[in-house]
Amino acid sequence: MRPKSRTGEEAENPGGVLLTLKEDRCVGCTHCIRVCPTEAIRVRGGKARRTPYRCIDCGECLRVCPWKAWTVETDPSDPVGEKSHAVAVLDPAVFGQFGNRAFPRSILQGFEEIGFSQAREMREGLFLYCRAVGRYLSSGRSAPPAISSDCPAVVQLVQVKFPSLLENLIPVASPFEIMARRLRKKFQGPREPELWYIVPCLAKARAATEARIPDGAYHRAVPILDLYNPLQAWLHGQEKKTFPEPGEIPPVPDLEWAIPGGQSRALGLGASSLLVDGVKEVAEVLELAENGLLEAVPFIEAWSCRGGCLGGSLNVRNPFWARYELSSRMGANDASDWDFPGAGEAGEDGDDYFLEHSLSPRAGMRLDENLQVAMEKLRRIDEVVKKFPGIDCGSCGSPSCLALAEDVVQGYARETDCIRVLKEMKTVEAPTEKGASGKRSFKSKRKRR
Amino acid sequence: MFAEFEIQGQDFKRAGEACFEIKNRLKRLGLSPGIIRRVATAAYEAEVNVIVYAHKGTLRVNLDDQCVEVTVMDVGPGIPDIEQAMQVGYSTAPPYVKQLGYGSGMGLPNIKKNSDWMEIQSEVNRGTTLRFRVNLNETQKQDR
Repeated sequence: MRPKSRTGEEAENPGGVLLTLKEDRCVGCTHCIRVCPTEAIRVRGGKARRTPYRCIDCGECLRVCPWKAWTVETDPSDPVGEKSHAVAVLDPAVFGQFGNRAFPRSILQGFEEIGFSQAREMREGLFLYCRAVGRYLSSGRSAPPAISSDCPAVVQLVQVKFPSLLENLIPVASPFEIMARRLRKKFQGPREPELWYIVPCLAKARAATEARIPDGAYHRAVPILDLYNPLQAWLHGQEKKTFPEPGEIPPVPDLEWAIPGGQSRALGLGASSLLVDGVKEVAEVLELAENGLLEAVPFIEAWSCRGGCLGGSLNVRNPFWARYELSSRMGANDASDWDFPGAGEAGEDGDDYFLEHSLSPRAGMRLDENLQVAMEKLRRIDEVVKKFPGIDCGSCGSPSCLALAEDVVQGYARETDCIRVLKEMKTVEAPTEKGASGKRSFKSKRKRR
Repeated sequence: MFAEFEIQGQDFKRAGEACFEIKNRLKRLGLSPGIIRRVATAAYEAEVNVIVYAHKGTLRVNLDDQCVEVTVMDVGPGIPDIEQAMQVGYSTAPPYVKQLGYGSGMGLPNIKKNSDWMEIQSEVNRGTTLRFRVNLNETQKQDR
């Protein structure tokens, strides 16, 4: 069950989902380097190259690539054939992927029909997560603003770009990790159940196989995309239901979790929560928090994807359409009836679902381990960047002129990778050449005047 | 010289830009998160002070192996009573500035809170020079 044919890097993520570049499709077009929030991608030798330690798994490159060169590689073993003893745990976003033919209960049944031994929704995990977070927020231990750590891409963004906000992240495991631990407890027996997490995005896929609490990991993460066809085929074979039967629709918080604002409402924080979605927008809010401006904000619900988990990079359906489909189902339920029978005893056995280790910063933005060397590099970057035109065209393969200056100083690029610099050099080298264009000829024209 | 920024009085829209640049540069150096946070918070307050009260100013950041030092020089009305200005909640900001969410009288106290050393020199109707330092070693110890 170990994934094969990996590109060498990150082979340590078995069972997960890997962001990979299909070299033959990449034309070096620079779309991805511009949207990457941590500047983790460069185009070198005409192909996109990713720096894993800066990558936060947000999936922006996947979304923007016009050539579909960025792809995800999943475990090559057949996801449909091997799961007869596996329990599928469905991310709340999954319920938004199947249109108006299927109600959530039918979707869960569908997973069992296509071969899983069982399919579970996330309710217990969500419920216990909310209770743990509620306790943490009222314990007085939290540093305002408390930042939700449910979205793993947001957590990675903080680790790479906003390490001073690590203490603001709520140190509670994600609902899916809590869910995995609960299921392991439930299925204690001679044979451990195989847990598969049906994910909407790259970040959750990675996080699912690298759990931060004991027993919180999944054996495999499978994008809903990989199971969509057999499921949709089965659902289409079913009689179309116009009205749900009793109990067919989970309580509102379960469905709403995939939509921005759902988490805050489930926590009872609706109005006293700062809600932000989209990785660029999240970064802007985190800047404000870092400046000390958001200390009056009790809770930040932040999602790396626009439209929350429905906007996940590995989903099938347009997130806004999916939101419409989900919202139209919520009318039948009331948020106030949210409870999880049996969850009572779970909290009382001392299980608080707090993270075992505090989250550590990732040295993604650091120029050098040695402060003196880093200062010298910064000084040289300031000098080198002056030689570039400041138009951030991306032709050099770096996301901006400043990034190119950094790459030059770090030894990853040359000044002549900038086409403007190259052009100028050419005209200087061959001043007598007729038709020499560019800056120099422009200057000489001005001199003549 | 590590970095220098020009700040224009009353330019509220750009409040935080100098601070943003400073943070990015300190992150590039790999300084500890606690130090970056303290410098950022104090520098932001200093930047806003220039925007709220002064005509224009310069924010300069210096760094050696002991500390980060920020110097903010402005051309403006100056501070007649520095001791009073240091008190929490004391503000001379006009009402429209308060409506924008600034001028709550927390600026200087916040700078003091987030720095290890601070000095204000001011001349009425000329301007103010504020200097503060955040020590590298001590703060790093506090973090642990």
